[in-house]
Amino acid sequence: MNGLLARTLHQALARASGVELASPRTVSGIEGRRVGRRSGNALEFAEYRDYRPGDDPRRLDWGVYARTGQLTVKLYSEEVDPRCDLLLDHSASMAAGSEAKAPAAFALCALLAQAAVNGGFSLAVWHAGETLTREPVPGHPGEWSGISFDAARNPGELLSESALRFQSRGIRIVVSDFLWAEEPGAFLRRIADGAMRVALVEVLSREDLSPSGSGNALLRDPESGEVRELEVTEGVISRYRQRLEAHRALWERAAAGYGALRISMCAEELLARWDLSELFRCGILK
Amino acid sequence: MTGLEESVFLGGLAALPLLLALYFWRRRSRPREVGALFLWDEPVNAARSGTRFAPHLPPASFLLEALIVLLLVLAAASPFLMRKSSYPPLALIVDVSSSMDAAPPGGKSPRRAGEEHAEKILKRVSPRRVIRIAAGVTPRLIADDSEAFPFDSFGKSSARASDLAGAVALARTLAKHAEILVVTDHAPEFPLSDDVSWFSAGKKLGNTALVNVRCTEEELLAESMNLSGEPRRVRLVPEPGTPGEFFTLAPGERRKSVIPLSPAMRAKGVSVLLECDGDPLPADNRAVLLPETRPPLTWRISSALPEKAKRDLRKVLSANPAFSAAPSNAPELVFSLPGKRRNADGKAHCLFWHIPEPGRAVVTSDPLSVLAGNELTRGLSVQDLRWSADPALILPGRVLIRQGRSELLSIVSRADGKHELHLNLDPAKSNPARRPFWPVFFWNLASILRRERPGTEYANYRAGATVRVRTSDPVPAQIRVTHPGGKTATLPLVRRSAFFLPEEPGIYRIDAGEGARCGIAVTNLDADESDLRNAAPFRKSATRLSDAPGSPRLNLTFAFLLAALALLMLHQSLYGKGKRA
Repeated sequence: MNGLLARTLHQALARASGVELASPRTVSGIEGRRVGRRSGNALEFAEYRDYRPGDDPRRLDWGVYARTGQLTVKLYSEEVDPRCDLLLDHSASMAAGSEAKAPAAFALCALLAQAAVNGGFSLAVWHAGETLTREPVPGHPGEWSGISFDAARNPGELLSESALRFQSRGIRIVVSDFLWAEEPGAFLRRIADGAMRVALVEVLSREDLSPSGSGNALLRDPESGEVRELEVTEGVISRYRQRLEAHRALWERAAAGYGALRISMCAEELLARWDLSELFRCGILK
Repeated sequence: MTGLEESVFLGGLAALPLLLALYFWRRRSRPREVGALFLWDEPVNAARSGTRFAPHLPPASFLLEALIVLLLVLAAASPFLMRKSSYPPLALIVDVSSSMDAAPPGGKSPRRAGEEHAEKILKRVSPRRVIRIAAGVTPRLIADDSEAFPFDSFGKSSARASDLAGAVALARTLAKHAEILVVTDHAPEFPLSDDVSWFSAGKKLGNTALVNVRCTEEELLAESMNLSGEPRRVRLVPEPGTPGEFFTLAPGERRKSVIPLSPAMRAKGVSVLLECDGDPLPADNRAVLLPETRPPLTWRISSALPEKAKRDLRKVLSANPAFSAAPSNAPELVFSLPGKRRNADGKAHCLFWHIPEPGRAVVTSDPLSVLAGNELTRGLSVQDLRWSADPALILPGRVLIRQGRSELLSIVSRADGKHELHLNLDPAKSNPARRPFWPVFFWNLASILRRERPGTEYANYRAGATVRVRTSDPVPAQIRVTHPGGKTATLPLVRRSAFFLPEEPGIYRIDAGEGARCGIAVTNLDADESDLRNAAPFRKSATRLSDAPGSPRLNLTFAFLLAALALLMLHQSLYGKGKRA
């Protein structure tokens, strides 16, 4: 762990003091699209609502039907085991173009891990490097091993190939730049499968958001090794911004489709101010 | 347009690659890692079919910037437009020394290569005033006009040396603002000014040559030299048809050969040849000479002279082969008392011996003084002389020897070209006839008088030496000289003499009037000229031309600057900040 990573980790852990990961409280049988596999170990009545196709017929309140003739579903507040899976992207793109991006992602992941520990979560941390590996000491970010950002593979590829089993009915948080060209649906499908809540924390550098410079450049993709010679002009940068916005919008739509939260953070701003208000607002932290 | 020969332009041109290299360095692609290459523009893909090699064109901005740099360099060269007729004259100086014809077997001589180069220069701007100067031993103006001309007009390359510095000076004298082109076979030996172009296609070659030949009435002296780095076997043939003499010359060896002249050679002249295989310069292996035959001077002693004087004269004349053995009735030199000359002796040189009257001759203790620098007094020794003379006698003409105020010997040059010598000497009380003074004086006298016979002084000359031709009496209307090539020239007369400078080797026939028809042989041998190891290629172009007065030049600097400015503005409008590439 180099000096910058250690320094940001120290700041992140200091910022995580008194911060907890929020436990999701949801109702079973959400929105009829997916049926929860398990009911949880503590049930508390929440409310009634009209039956919708796809709802578990076992949750129909036959008494209400007898009285009113309406098919009504009895909803319970489901108290789940507080579980959290954190996935940190270790691909080389996280270190490309900016010195702040990788430390920011690492520090944010450490902060979330510490918040999960603070909240009493059963924590699993996954490092998406050349392979997906589970961190043996997830509750101690300072002791995480193999912290480097030079992998040639992105989390999307890894998740599609591996038979990874996340903790069920837990919170899954992915910290990445999500800058890979493949369609995001498959990735989200694997992440959201069996999850209580999915959060995609996008960490981009200022250079990613708005590249600077001009003149001839030999652009290199650190993951694929592909190079491209371009004369960087205002026009080229403008077109880059348009494509980036389209890419992020694609992820936004895909995340909405899978009920995932998507939070975007600028690496440099995060390291400068440690402003976590967005995470609080979305209910990731409390 | 010209001015591109300016040193500023050449410097700028040399800087252009540097500027372009700097440009490329500044515009080089800097490596840069990006998080998502797929978000950047795709390069334009070449078609899968069509030409195999797609030419890589630099971006238009680069071409525009390179053009701007080029225009600025051109502007710095101060280019100008000039009408052809306004061009400064071209002084074409061609080295006509014999080494210009040296060529390896099958190769091209420096003269030929120089002619081709000069033709290219002349075709570039024509018509133009062209001053042609042949640079031999003495630079010679061949022509000064603007017409096309053949290079033959420079004559053969036969001079034994070339005075190129003198030729350049002559060109500047003829046209102050001329552009000067020198065609030769070696590098310049003097600093070149900016308006002088130099073209040399000479090559270092080994050579064997005759470097010196002399001919007396009896013998021939020939000096052969090996001017190469290896031994050379040669054959010296003094007379055509004879086997000659074989010998080997070591590198750098100079060998003298003395060969007696046969009667045939005395009659027809000598043609000496040095044969050597693979010799690059045949011209210096051959020489033609004429025997230096000079008949003895005829004389007569007046009977009026005292016996002692006559005895002293006969004694010295008989001992000198330059004087005829016996007196002559048609003498060339007459010894007599003043005023006692016969009419028949009017066309002869005279030595008037002034015999002092008894009692008037004195011997003084004053030192004898001899006029230096006169050929007649050359080598005269006046030591131990006791000269008894009449101190009151005033001798006519130029006094050559005097003692105190006494005039002892004087010379008068007559209008007819003859000389009168006046000698103030008492033979009875003096001793010059018994001292070395006497034979030396008569030797000098014979030498001078024999050379002053009608015709030339010598039979053999070196090319470039001044030949003086004395006329016979009566003076002819003109003197005609027939050159070895058959060309005949008429020489102007200057006080009964004519002068010319033979450059071409060979036999010259001279007709200077009745009794003055003769021939001379001219050789062009010279060790330095034959040494082809000094030849070297060298090229330099004039970098600046003088501003000839009245030659209108339209300066184009501003045009180039304006064009560069316009392109710069176009560049800014196309590729300035905030514009698309």
